[in-house]
Amino acid sequence: MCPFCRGGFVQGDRTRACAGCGARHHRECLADHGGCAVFGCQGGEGLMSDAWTIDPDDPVPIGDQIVYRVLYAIARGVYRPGDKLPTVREVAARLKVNPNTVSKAYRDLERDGVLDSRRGTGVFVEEGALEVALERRQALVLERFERAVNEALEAGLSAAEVQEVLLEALGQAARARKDEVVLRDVEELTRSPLARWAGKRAGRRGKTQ
Amino acid sequence: MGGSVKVQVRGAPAVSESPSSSPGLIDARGLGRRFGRRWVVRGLDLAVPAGSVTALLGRNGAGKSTTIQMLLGLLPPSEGQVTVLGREPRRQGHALFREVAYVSERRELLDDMTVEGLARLVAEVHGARFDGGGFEDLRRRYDLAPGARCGVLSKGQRARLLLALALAARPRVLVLDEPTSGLDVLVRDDFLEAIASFVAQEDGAPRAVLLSTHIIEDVSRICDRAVVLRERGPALSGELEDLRAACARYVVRLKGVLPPGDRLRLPRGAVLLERDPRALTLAAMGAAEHVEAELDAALPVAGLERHPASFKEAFACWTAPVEQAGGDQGGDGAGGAA
Repeated sequence: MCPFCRGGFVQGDRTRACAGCGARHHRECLADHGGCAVFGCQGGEGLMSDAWTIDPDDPVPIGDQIVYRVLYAIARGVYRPGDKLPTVREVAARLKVNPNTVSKAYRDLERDGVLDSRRGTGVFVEEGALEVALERRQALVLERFERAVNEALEAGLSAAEVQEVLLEALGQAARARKDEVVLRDVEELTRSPLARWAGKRAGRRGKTQ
Repeated sequence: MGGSVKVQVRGAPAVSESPSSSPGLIDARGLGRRFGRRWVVRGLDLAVPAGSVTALLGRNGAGKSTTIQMLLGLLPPSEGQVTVLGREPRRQGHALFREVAYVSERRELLDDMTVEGLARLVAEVHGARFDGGGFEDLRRRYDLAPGARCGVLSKGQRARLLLALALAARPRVLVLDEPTSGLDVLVRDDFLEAIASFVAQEDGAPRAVLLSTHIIEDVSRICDRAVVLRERGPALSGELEDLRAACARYVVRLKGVLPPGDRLRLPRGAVLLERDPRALTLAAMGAAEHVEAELDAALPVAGLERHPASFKEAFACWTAPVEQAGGDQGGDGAGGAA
């Protein structure tokens, strides 16, 4: 499983292993993430050296980047409920960012029920943190998805073509993961009248071109 | 004209908020300095609240160093007031530097002294306040030989030594004037890390940093507030993220083709980033509807996209010259705000 997208590897995927911990990533994911996505991995040559890394050139504000990092670490199980996080000062010095930015990120995560600093002895991961992290991750993926759909339409693809590609990708992913439930769903969707119509239409377009 | 109005509206809440709710460790009101008949800085309100790392930004010659010298009592202002830690720097003389550390871009050291000797001298000046152990830790970390003469230190080593000395004096306010200009990225990292741990010390004492720099990447990392000195216009100030969010990048698709030689009439305050025959990319500050309406009025717009501005693009907007036609008025406005 790729530690960034948590998806499996399909034949033909371009992958690369982290020189530090050996974890295999999709190449695109490695580039997306800027380095090895295994939390705490020191990375290898040319890979990220520290999981608490931020990218100051990223248009995403640094505080939000820290929020995503922490959520991601929790989603991966690197930090579990009850675990203590590094202090604001430690994170600020490590990332070389403003401590106020870090404490604001921690406060945001506290408000969302991910972290808890009430005990006064540090910042801890809350019980329900994993669910929140997964929810946020889904929201992020859906957002990217919507952007991709927009781009597809802008590039001149038709609704039917987008749908076809989507069903195909779903089928492929389901087969690769041997996920019976998804596979059955995909077959069901493919049989629907809209899909059949779309399939025929796409076929016609293919011939006329 | 529209530009400056929007700016004031955008900046107003943040500006008025900070000095009243929590007095800054550094506060300046209506600060101005004139050399002969030329005002280098005028009508400047500035606050560095406790716990903040405030960037002092501006193009070359915008008056950053003059401002810092006035804040430290090294240069008498022509008008306005300054307080540092609640007191007037001009009245305090050297006493101010017990709690305020200043690293200037010139990196002056006593060249005949050794690293160790200079540290002893600084320790004597500061007395019990000087943290000898802390200096030793930093000296070792920065790889400075105790017996090395200051005169033979490289630029980066000089900067590190000054930083170590400044921190060991345990100041409450750290003023850094272009501390890392011309230094490699590792020395810059040392400064950033030192600044981050300095303001976040967990003893509850209020601390703050004022940092003037040209390295926008450092600003976006380490600073939470900014004061931008502008030619002919009132300074901008506020939370860094708010200041950036006030700017946006616009991609304008044009009706028809724009001959390359043609002079462009752009809305005031808009900065041209890229120019193609059928499209322009600009950055501008202010409310989106307002900017878009101005673009529509000035250019044959066929389509418009708006994107978040990067810090570099935002910096270009902040420091864009305030419109010439209103230039004299802008100066008056700045004076009037004092």
